Amino acid sequence: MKMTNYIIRRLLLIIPVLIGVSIIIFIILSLFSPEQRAAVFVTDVKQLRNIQSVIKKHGLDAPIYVQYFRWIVEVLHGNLGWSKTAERPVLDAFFYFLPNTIELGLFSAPLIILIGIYLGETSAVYRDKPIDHLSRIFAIVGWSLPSFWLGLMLLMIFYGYFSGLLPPEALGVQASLVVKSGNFVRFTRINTIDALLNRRWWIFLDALRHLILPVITLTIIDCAMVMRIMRSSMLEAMGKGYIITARAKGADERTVIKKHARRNAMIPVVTVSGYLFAMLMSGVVITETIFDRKGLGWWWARAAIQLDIPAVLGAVLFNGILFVLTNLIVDLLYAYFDPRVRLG
Amino acid sequence: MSELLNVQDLKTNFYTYEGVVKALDEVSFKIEEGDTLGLVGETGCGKSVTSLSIMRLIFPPGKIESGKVIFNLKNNSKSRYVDLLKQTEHWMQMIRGNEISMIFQEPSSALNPVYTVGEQIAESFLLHQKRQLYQEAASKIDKELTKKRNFFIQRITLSIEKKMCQLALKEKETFIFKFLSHIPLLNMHLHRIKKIALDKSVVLLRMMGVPNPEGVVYRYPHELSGGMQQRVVIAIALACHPKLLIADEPTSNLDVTIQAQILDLIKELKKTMKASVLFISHDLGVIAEVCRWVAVMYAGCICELATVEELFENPLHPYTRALLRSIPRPGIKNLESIEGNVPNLVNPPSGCRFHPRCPKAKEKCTRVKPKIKKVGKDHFVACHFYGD
Amino acid sequence: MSPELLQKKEKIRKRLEPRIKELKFSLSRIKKSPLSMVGLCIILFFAIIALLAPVIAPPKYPYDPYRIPRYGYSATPKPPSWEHPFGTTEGQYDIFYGVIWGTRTAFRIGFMVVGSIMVIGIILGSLSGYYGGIIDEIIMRIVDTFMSIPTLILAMALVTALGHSLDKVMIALIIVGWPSYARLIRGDILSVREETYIEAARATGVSDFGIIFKHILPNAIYPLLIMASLDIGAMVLTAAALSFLGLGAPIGYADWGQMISFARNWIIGPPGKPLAYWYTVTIPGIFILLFVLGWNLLGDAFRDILDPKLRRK
Repeated sequence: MKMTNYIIRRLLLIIPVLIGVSIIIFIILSLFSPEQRAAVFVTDVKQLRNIQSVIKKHGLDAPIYVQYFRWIVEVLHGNLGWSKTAERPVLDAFFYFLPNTIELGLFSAPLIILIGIYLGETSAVYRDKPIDHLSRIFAIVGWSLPSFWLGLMLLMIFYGYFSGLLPPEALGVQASLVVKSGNFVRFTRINTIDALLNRRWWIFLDALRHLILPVITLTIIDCAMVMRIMRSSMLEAMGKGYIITARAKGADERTVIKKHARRNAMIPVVTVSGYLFAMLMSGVVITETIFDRKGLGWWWARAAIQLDIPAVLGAVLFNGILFVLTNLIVDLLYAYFDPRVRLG
Repeated sequence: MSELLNVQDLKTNFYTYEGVVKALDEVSFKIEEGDTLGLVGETGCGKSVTSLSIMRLIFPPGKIESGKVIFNLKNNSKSRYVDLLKQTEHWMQMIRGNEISMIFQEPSSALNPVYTVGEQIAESFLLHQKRQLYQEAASKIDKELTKKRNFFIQRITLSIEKKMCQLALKEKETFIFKFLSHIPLLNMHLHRIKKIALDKSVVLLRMMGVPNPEGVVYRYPHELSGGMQQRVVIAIALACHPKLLIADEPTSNLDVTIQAQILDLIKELKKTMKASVLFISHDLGVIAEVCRWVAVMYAGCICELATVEELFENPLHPYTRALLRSIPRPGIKNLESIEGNVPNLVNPPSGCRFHPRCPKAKEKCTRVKPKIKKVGKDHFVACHFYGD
Repeated sequence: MSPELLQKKEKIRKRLEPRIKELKFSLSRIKKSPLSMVGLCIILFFAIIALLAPVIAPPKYPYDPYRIPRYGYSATPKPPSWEHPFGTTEGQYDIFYGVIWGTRTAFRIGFMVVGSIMVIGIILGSLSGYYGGIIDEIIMRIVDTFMSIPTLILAMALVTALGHSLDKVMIALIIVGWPSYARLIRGDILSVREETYIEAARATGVSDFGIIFKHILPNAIYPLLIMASLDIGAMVLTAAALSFLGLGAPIGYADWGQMISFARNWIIGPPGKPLAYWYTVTIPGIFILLFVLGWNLLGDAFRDILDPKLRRK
């Protein structure tokens, strides 16, 4: 009961943030001319042929606050406009591109968290030893690497030098033909999972092969943050009284670290994992562009270049909602990891 | 009565940015079996470092430089003296919490906030009494197996559990055993011994005077009051019936009423468990209540060691005298404070470390460090003005 | 000197003593930490390049030195030679010239953006923390909103709206970047505000801004500098990413991110020579990496040195 209450209360807290996001979006929107803005209000490209009527119909020359409320009404009806880069309405395009991005996240997020935590912990335990210096250098270089450059370099080596070993895009030509054909059921539209469900192992392996480089790129760049937080919180935990108690009990070093220190050190990592998600989304824009994976990030990057306003604003809205939802999950996890936190 | 702990010329340094902190300088004392020694001194004089050095819980930048910590591992009334400082770390882990254990100053930070009280007490049993736990588990399984009304499946799981217990009892935990213990269905013996350890924790908590121990074991430390937390800390320390209990200011962060309760508890437990106690405090009053012997520490050295009565009746060392004069007592209006400050242990005063603050200091005190000498029955002092 | 003056001097010395001691301690740790020295050297190296850019790579168009000179119009990049030490990229833009003048661009982006967000952050954060109430509530809600959208995506949206150019990229980054500073300053002020010496200052009639500037900011300055150092790297990285995507500097402008986007089509060489055009992507990338690394090393070393939690006693 407490749990549901808490979730409901948290969901209500989303509203102010969403209103804030909508205001930001609308301010950005109002920087454009009415002609440019028209695309935000239409659901079909045919309507754009007669822009003046769209402007009139949606009152794009009306006072700004009137426009805001009209726009909000449209958004609440699920109409986010027509994306010319995706050649479909924004909401449709969103669901069209989502699976590829989920796939990327599904593989990289666990890696980022596991490697980050492992490196941070080892670094803290062997403080000032060579392994600590090495993993800190790895983290800081990873943190400083331009993701787009890293991606290109990886492509240069693994696609160019090892001719076609790890190619860009989401699937090979043959595999994508099969996937698009009728006798391949697309349950989730996530390639790897669908391939498994269809028991087409070679497609699964092909999808995996295409995933390796983008996942490596994202992991190298993003696990630095997890590592550094884990390291400092682990160092802090190792200095706490309960660690001496555990040692005085006769616990061996392994138990002290893996049982007593780690569980406490994880708490700060959990609290920042919401930001980690936001960072991942930024990374996705770059990696998907470089590796030509047709996911959300790829779409947004093209939309920004081609002045596809509805798509770009949709991206902002989506990320705002995503951030709020991930933070809700993070809060629940936080309560699980730290018994001192009570929900409610 | 035989000697339980004999600390000889213990020296511990801390290598810090400011320089080498000479935290302990040739500290020596003894504790007889069943006896209580109080260690008294100002904050930062090395009381806690002494206790941690005995437990060998000094970590970099700290280092135990020299000395001996001789502990009597008595087995069937046969004394066996071991120098703790010469043993391996693994050996020490078997001693800590089992033969020597410790109670800490701040109960709220001494307990791990993310585990329940029961889990933390049970850990002591699981670390040191695994054999007994497995034996108990095995006999319990046997009892359950003799019951007629068992389902077929239950019988199978029980016999798997029994096999695992026997395996654990027969050979020490081998790699294969550890590996098997991670597999579901094969790891049920672990749940069972955890449950048994938890039951033991309930018994222990009841002994500590915790109301409703069955419920308390499932609570987290932050849900308990300071007094209850300290009882839990004591329970953890006493779980395996140690021969020596080191209590590092166990009451100084508690309310006065709870302080008295905890002191009574320690006194009572000392009797029932027949443990010796090294009681550390900055409060002479508390020491007088609990201990038979007192050692007064100043700046990393022991300056006077005597029975409580002797020390209060006939204090010899100028520092002890000053210390006694600074305790508030009824009838005495103006308290005296000790002139000067606690010395910086990076550059401790030469000779007797107390000489800059000593009213009687003479030339010799600035040069020669006084050795601790016997000056009467049950009375030792480290001062140039006494003895030969 | 009059005894009064001496006394005053002594007083000042006494008040500054802990700060000086702290500074000395920090400096000694910097000297001992090889990583921070490396960071410092890298930044100095880039500073020299930026200052001497007109000497190292004399501009072909003195009225517009940031325009990279072109040597022909062929699409295929040309490998390093005596005339073009780092080769030329797609469209025959000289890579050497581009990276040298790109250093100036990077410094300009870093300093302008971080300088502006520091000022905005300090002002709004101070207002929010010091006055509390409705001002605090409004500013913090704005901060929350901005922080809920990933930096790159919000910056992308803003650049789309403002127009594609380097100045617009900087404006977008300033809009995106200030909230974290405001939050940091506000937190510091809230924690320092209740401390006794602030109360004492208030009791003696020091004005609000006097208190903020004399007592609160000096205490918050270290975390702020750490964050600024790390942010210079992060902002240059984000700006480069935007340029790479084609949202930043106009074509032909000396900017590292753009130079890498020139190389995008040339990561794979002709058959038989897969790494033929390695220089087009590798060289500008190394410049970005080193520049960002320098600032991050510096900020990181500072954080370790100044973090009281991690400090060895």
